[in-house]
Amino acid sequence: MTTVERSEQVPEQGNDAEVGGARPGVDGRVATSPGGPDPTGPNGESVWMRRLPWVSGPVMLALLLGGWQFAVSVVGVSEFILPAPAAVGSALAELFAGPEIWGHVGITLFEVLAGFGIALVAGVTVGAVLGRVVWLQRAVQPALVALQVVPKVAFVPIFVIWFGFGPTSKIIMAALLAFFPIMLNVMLGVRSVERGHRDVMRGLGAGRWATFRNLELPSTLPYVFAGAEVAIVFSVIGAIVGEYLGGSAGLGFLAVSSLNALDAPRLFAVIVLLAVLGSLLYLAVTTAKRLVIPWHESVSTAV
Amino acid sequence: MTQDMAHRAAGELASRAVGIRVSGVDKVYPTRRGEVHALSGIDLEVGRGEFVSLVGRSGCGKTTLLRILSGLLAPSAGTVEAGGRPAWVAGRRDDAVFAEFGLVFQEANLFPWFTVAENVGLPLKLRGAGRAARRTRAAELCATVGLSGFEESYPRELSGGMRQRAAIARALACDPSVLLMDEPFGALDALTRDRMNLELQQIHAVSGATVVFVTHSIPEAVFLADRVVLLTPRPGRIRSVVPVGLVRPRSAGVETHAEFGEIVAGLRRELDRED
Repeated sequence: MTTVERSEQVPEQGNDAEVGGARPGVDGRVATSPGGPDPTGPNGESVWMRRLPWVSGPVMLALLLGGWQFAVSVVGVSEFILPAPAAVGSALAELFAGPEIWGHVGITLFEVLAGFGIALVAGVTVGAVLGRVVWLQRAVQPALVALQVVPKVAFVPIFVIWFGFGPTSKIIMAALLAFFPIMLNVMLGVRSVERGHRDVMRGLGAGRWATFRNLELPSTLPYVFAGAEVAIVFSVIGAIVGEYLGGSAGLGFLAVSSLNALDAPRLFAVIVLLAVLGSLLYLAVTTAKRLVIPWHESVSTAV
Repeated sequence: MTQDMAHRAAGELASRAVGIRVSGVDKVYPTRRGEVHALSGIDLEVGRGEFVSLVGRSGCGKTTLLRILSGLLAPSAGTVEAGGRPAWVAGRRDDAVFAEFGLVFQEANLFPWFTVAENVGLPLKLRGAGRAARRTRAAELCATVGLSGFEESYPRELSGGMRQRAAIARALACDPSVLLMDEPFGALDALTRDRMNLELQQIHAVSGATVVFVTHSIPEAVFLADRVVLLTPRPGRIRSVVPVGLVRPRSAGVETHAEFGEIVAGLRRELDRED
């Protein structure tokens, strides 16, 4: 087969009526044109937009710390209600100087990850099955809605009775909270495989496995990650609440015991630690998303 | 007059090998308001290497017919044969027959998670071709459709016309003997469309594939085809088959020829005729 004569200009020159779709951006990356998935991204602006969070983040943190310090030293809020940033800092340092902190961090991390892992496996499985088997989905719909609207945190005491004060009850709480966003997203994802894409695979006479590998799995992955981004935050909440209400170890337990000791700086330090832990876990999920589905719009237009 | 033309076309066909033969195909859709007769008594022979355009108003069943030819929709009655072999047997498709077909849809339907090269090489992947072989073939095909240099791009980085080129390259991947196209350029702007038509004509000439091309544009149908099949709706039937004798290769200038104008005008009259 020979090459078809091309009457058009070389696309890289960029003024071809048809080619407007792709042209290298200022930084060498290909930026999508207006009408593409990222309409806000003509070249110069997108660099500025990408850097904006790196500037605004530290500025907001500085404002927070400044306002905090101001409230303590100028307004004179009581040390017990609002300890100074420096006091929280030294409480944090004290925590890390002690022998127990890594144990608490490790336990909480283990509970979060185990709960998230269970939710991921169960959520993807149940979501995929319910997405495909319509009658089953209709049948369990009432139960799903009921489970979803119940404030699940209320189950913690029951889980403590059933599974004891150890990590198991927290893992189950974390998994229960994280399960729903994953399951619901996967159910939606399995159903939203494009009909045209299915036609392509059917036209090629693709078998079940080939269709799953090349079409259904990749087109569902963005939904799995959308669910996982919510779920990782929920599993931190689940684990912490579990520790608050019936724990003997972990960062949630540490927060409650600081409260009982009326040690406000340490309470704040634990909360800072939890915030950092949650952010790192969320970052891990979004990084995994970038690596696994680099082609997806949510990756290309984010930060 | 159209009867006469149809006879002439049938005479010409007798001397050629048959690419696709459609006999007595009906398609009935059950709906809540009763049955809808989408196609009724469709008989059509497409010669090997012939380019046939299907035209008609929306709802005339041309897409339904193409989907039956593509193996995506089972006919309610009648038979479809390709290369002498039945393609639909008792409502079940014979995958071996359809493996020889290349399909192009109105939407490019490229998979966003694959690069252009991976999309183009997908049919080969499904046939178990190795990575290296797929890569080489994809590069060849990209050159054929004018996409060289975009092998590693993702579909979202391409314009509509470029995506449709990639879709055509994918359809050509397994050297199909039959190319079925459902309004492939319908979503493109007029200038791009003209250029794609010229390139399609060349691809057809070089590959020697049988092409069935659905469009709602009569000039486009006439420009590309050896024969134009006109369908009318409710139920979808073939009203006339008009041969296009214009010499190939046709340039964009052919549209100003008197003969071109006559054929287009004739088809328009047929389309507007009330029964």
